[in-house]
Amino acid sequence: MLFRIPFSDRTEWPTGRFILVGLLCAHIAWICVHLWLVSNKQINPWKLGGYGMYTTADPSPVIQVYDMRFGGQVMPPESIKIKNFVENNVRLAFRCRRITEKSIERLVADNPHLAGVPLQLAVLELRLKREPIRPEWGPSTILGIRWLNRTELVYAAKTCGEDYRGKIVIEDDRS
Amino acid sequence: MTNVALLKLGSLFQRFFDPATDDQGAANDGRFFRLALAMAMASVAFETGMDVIPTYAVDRVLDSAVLAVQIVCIAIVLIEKFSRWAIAVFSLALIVDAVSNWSGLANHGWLAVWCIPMAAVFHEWWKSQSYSDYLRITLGVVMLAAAAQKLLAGTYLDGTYIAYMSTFGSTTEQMFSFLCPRDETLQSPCALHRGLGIFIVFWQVAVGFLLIAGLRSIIFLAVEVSFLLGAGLYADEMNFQVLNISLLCIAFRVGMSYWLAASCGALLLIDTHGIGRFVEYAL
Repeated sequence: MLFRIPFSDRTEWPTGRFILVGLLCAHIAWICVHLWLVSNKQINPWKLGGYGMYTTADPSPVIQVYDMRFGGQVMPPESIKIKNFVENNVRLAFRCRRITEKSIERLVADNPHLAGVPLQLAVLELRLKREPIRPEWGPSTILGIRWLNRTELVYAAKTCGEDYRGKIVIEDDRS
Repeated sequence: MTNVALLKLGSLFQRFFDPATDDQGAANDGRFFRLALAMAMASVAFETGMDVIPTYAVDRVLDSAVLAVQIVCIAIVLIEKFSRWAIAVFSLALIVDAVSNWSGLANHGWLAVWCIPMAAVFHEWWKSQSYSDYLRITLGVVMLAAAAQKLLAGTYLDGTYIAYMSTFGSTTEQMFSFLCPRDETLQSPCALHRGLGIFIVFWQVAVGFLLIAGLRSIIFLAVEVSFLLGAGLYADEMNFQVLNISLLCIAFRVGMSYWLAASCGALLLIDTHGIGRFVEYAL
């Protein structure tokens, strides 16, 4: 026969076929979820299965930190540890996930030299623009940190157009 | 001469629709199926290795252990008696890696997670028609998903993405830059770039449906393998294509020949440096 009806071999273990059909259904469900998340610009289309790879510029998100004491000078990447800062959003796959207070605490804990330093942090991603066609870097998240004193900071952020702010008390290990 | 040529062309056309026969000899032997799955597993191990080996970092102990387990399992999967166990252990390492790094895992890893562990469900998986059906439908669904994403993005039907890659892409990604003048196509993608974008979407949809429908044709398989190799050359990413080719060999119940396995192995090695670098060196 030129075409074969799938899972039609009745000599095979029925539970095995049941498992495979179940997995297929789960996979198709995930593909639909992925498509929905991409359509709402919630995730990087190149990640979480990569079904959207090579449909747009690879966002390649990067984090840039600006020292606001010196007019927003970009701090060298090697001077800042951000691995734990993005722990809840590895490779920044979820582009519209808010920065949590825990992430900010981790950033300060991993970089004690930043305590008291007013900062601005931007998550930049590459976007495909038209007329003319070109790649362009743009922020998906901007976070501003201002210190009230050595152990208290206030932050204001914007992620995918949504504003949020808060206040964090940093635990002082020395006390 | 013309009649002979026409006869050959007709025969080729007919062969496209000839069903791939269930070669019971090959299926019972199983060597070529295990070789195909070993190659699929190798493509996953190469992806892991390219992350781990360049860094040799102490905090990559888990990744190094996963890589070591994967390499051992690739060797053992070729042995009929232990094949299923090798897949089970490999799958465990794969799933551990996937769970610990799920949001950062490459698409390569996810396709492997969906396809490879399921072989362990069957005692003699190389004889299992259901497993082959599962692979065929999974690959077809993935093709349709990719096509759906391209339609959603809208960057292929109007040629935008092809024009973008032809100008700003890597060495191999610029291979279609000769089709249209750069400045013109960046303002408004030229007809050739639009046509290429439309063709790519059409091809993916067609292949997706044919795979799901279960078209059993060796020539269809050969054409699709050629397309995958072309796509791998374009994107300069061969390990994902090797994974696809290996799975297709099992899905079409033909197994992987030694020469194809050797070719795929060579592609994996080339991929560690990237085809673009070879092209730049040659130019």
